[in-house]
Amino acid sequence: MHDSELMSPREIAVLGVMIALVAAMTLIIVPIPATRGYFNLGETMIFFAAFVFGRKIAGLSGAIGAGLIDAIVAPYFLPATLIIKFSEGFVAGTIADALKKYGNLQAVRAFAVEIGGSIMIIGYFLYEAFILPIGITDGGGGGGLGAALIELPWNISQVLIGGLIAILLTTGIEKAYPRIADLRS
Amino acid sequence: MHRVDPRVKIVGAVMLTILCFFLSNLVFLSVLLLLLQILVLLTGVGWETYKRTIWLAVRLALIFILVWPFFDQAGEPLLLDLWAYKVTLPAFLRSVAVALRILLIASGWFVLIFTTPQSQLVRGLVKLGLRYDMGLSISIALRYLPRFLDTIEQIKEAQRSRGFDMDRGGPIMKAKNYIPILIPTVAIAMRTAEELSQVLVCKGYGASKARTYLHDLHMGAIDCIILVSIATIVPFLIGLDVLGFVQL
Repeated sequence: MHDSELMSPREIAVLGVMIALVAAMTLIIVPIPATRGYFNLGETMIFFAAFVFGRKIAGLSGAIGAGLIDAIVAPYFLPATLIIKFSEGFVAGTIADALKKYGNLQAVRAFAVEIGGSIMIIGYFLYEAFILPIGITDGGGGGGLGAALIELPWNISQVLIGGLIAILLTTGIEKAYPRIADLRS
Repeated sequence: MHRVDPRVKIVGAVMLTILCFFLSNLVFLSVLLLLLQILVLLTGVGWETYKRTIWLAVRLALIFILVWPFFDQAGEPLLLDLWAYKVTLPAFLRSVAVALRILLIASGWFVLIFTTPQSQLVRGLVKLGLRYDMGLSISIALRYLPRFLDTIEQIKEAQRSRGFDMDRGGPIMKAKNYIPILIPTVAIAMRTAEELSQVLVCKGYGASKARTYLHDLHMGAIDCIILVSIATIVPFLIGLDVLGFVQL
């Protein structure tokens, strides 16, 4: 009865809800002025999705969730966000799943955050320094480096804090809502 | 503007964005930016909303211009010389080009987002080739986003009334304070997902691969004209630029 190519109803519902959560958390915090205008906890949800639901949901919810918000507030970042956030979630999910059996869950998750987060930090740095001003910087050096460097500390904090919260959150949820395991593929 | 088919607007926004990455000529950028402000006016959206939305783009554009001279000091004449901060005219103009590019992309997407209702946006994407199940997930997300934002606020209030002070501490503490908010929120979200998946099964999702719609999208004559124009002019211009006939 169900087409094997399409996602199952459960997957569609989980993905939809995760996209909404990533988007909501991307909107939630705006305390520090920065080039992107917000320091947000979207990362928390992407990593959470990676730990609980795996790389596909994490990648897709990251890309679409953050993408939806960027389409409205920062469309010049949209191409970068779609690719970078997808990769971040996908890689973090892949690492978390692959290394799960090697014991210390917290350490594995921290490592997943480190690698996934690095993709985000490096990705946005390169985008702002070289791709956003592409065709213009050929004229003279790396003018875009200025803006990219300003962004750097915010992105690093965002990943570190977002990742920390995600690890704590996942442990908390697994205790408070063990039924969440049923929603996994 | 609101009556234009969402597919045309989506293609327009995407093509504009692609075109922008080829544009470095200040004249072309300025003219296009002006044209887009006319489109923005035609949307009928208020100045307050536009100002609020475009403000982040303006801020980034200004930052680019301000910090550019630290890293690009090529060309003559030298306008300002402050140790490591050297502003040359060509470099300044380059930074202005990047700024205009940012503003242009922001304006274009503003027109798309603020003249297209969410349902039409998703429908347009699906008709353009997005997988139907993905479109469904996005629709679910758009519908529950405001609800989750409300939930988060409600839980914040509930915790606050129990004496939980969210505002103390530095950024790390403030972020950690979100955990007692997030755990119930995520639990609610997961319960929502469970219910939604059951609803989907009940509604016969997946029974047939082809879906029919109650209100479908129809392309009018104007839509076709706009679409064809965008789809030919933009690639043509980019082609000219790539082949070297024109410096965009």
